[in-house]
Amino acid sequence: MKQPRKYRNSPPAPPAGPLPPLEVIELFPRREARAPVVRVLTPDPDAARQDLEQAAAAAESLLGREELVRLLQAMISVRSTPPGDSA
Amino acid sequence: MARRLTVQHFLACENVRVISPVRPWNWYNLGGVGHRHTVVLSTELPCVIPVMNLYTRFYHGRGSVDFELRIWGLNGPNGRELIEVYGPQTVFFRPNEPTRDFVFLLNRIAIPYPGLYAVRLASLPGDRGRGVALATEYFEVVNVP
Repeated sequence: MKQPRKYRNSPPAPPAGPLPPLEVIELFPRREARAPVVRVLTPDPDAARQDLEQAAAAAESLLGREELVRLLQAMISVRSTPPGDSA
Repeated sequence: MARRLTVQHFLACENVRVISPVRPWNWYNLGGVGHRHTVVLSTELPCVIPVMNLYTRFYHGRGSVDFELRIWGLNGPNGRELIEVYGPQTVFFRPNEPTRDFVFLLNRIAIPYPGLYAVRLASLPGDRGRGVALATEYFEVVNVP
């Protein structure tokens, strides 16, 4: 079987197996002389709320308020229906 | 011969979010990717960009490497000018991990004037050789009414 061509600057393949979680390295201006903070990125409920608000505002500007409300109501209705009860 | 450390992606963005639920092979969202930061005209300059995320993908990292990030103003009244320095910060690369992603989160970038700015990521001289410039990202600060 023909092998894929290797380009000179092609990136290495990602490692096999689970990838490590994304680490955030928080840095401060050198003049503040504060130690960096290294942390693993974890889900943030406040961020999720903020994302939802932004998405709703964007959808409202594209679709209009009535359509946005209709879509949200449809989503809530689907999520509140138990599995197997859709008929 | 060992491949040298390179940076393939170096991208400024407003936020980075992990997609819940967390699990191996997790996905991430980069939000607010763009070259332009707007400053409201009523804001007095110098102003501060509270937070900037720089999503960075390294290739061929080995051992530990010290990094530094510098913010340059490119078209200020005195031409090119160093605005802010972040780091040095040591990053550890695990064995058998040819690609590795990090987010550098820069706090409180002081912006003295509207214009074009560059963020330069460089490795510092150490046991594994001389320091080298690895990547540059640009952003523009503009006044808006």
